[in-house]
Amino acid sequence: MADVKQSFDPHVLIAPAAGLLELTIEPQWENAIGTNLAMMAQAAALVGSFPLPDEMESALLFRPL
Amino acid sequence: MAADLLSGTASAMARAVAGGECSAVQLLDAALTAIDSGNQTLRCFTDLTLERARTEAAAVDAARSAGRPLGPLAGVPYGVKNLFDLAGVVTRAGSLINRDNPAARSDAFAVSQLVAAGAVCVGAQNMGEYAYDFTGENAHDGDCRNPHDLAHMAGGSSSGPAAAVAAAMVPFSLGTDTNGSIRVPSSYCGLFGLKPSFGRLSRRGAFPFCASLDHIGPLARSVEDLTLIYNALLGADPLDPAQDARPASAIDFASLADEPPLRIAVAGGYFRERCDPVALQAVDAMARSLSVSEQCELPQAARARAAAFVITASEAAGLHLTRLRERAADFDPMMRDRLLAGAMAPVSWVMQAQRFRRWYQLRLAELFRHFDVILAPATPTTALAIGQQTVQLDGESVPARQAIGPFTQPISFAGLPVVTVPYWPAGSGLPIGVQVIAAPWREDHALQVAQQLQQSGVSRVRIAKPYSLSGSSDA
Repeated sequence: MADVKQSFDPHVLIAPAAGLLELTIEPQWENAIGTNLAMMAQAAALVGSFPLPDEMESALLFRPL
Repeated sequence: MAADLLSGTASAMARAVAGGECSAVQLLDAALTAIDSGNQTLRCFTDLTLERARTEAAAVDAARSAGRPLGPLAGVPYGVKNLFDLAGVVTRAGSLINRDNPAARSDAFAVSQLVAAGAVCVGAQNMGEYAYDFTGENAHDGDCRNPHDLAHMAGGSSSGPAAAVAAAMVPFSLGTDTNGSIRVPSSYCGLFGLKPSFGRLSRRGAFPFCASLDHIGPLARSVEDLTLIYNALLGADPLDPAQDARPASAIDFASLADEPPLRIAVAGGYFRERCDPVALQAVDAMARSLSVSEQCELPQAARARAAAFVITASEAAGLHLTRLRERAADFDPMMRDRLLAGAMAPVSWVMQAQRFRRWYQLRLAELFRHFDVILAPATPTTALAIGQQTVQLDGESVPARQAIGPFTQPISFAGLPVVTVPYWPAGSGLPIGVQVIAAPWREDHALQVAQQLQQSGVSRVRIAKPYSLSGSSDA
């Protein structure tokens, strides 16, 4: 997978994101959440490093009824 | 008679009931005896619907006695993953939290279709919490065990559905598949499993996981059974916003053998890396049986898996956000920590993954101009041991939970129909599956090739008996 910037520390994100989302995070959960966030960041970096043309639309689709 | 039939196929059971060789009530009693004897060990079923099952079986027998026409699955007992609504049953979706919900007021659409086909629902089955799982482990209902070797995982998240079929409790089950949750347990338990095209079958009444990727489908003991059940599940449902509007025809199983040969290739590159040699042995055995020598490359499969991972975590987190706020401690810790991380993911990650999904869809459509069917491993290894933390793949130690779905995720990400076919390596006590992948909406192609593989004998189901370490026998 593509490397995420060394400066990214997922643990820094947890407290402010939890506040924004009104989530209560127990201290003993933080390591596992950080590990999962780091894995997501790696996956997102791999996807994000792939060049897509501007006109490539999202696969989400809405159909009026 | 009924007990013998219980180790066979759903098709054979339906024929026996229609022919008067066995009653639906007798089949039901045999299924309940098998469940009673093995469920404590295997943990396949979480809820039994005894009253409902007796009513449905008696109705089938009464209809036969009166000379009324019977449905194609008349009298065949089955179970459903416990995320499907069953009227009068609380839909637990593998969780502790949902047990506080009221009982479902009506059946899921798919269950209603099976009722119309005459099948007899015996209960709801164990699964990974909220379907976010490949292992079959469950902190609330206990780990579902692999009936071929109790020390190993059944695979998830449709763990109970798979183990119950492999252990001859019921001949088929209804499962769901978002990233591999029908195909992984089919591989681990040695079954035929069908994940249809995304949008083909209504998901209404199935508790969601990730709406962008959720599918429903059957796990069974033969390709004929998959076809029969798939046909029964077909039906337009205007209340499922994800169902595709194009009409779907029933597949004529008997005519599959007369169809012209298809253009088949083996998936190369990504799908031949980071897996146990036994996974490649299985694919190559299938390819030899079909006289297939060509390889093809699914472009950017690793990125497809990564994009599926991002979409799944964030979309599922959005679904569960209120529960994460109010009852985070009541989740299985493995699920909770992944969902909390998913809730914190930037939206731009998800949107980029959805844009990549469109690109990937278009590239695979080009690939299917050259091939009708692609063969790939279903899982990198046979069933991992329960509690196993790491696995060695290509000389590298990989976390076990990351080494289960790498070959299924890039396929469901494109919404392709897949039949998982079982393979038993020589001398092995555990099976492994191969994905028979077709172009969108061509379930018939996947079933046609699966049937060829079953007919040649290279792919076959073995029934585990009797959930000890005493081995397995052919279905």
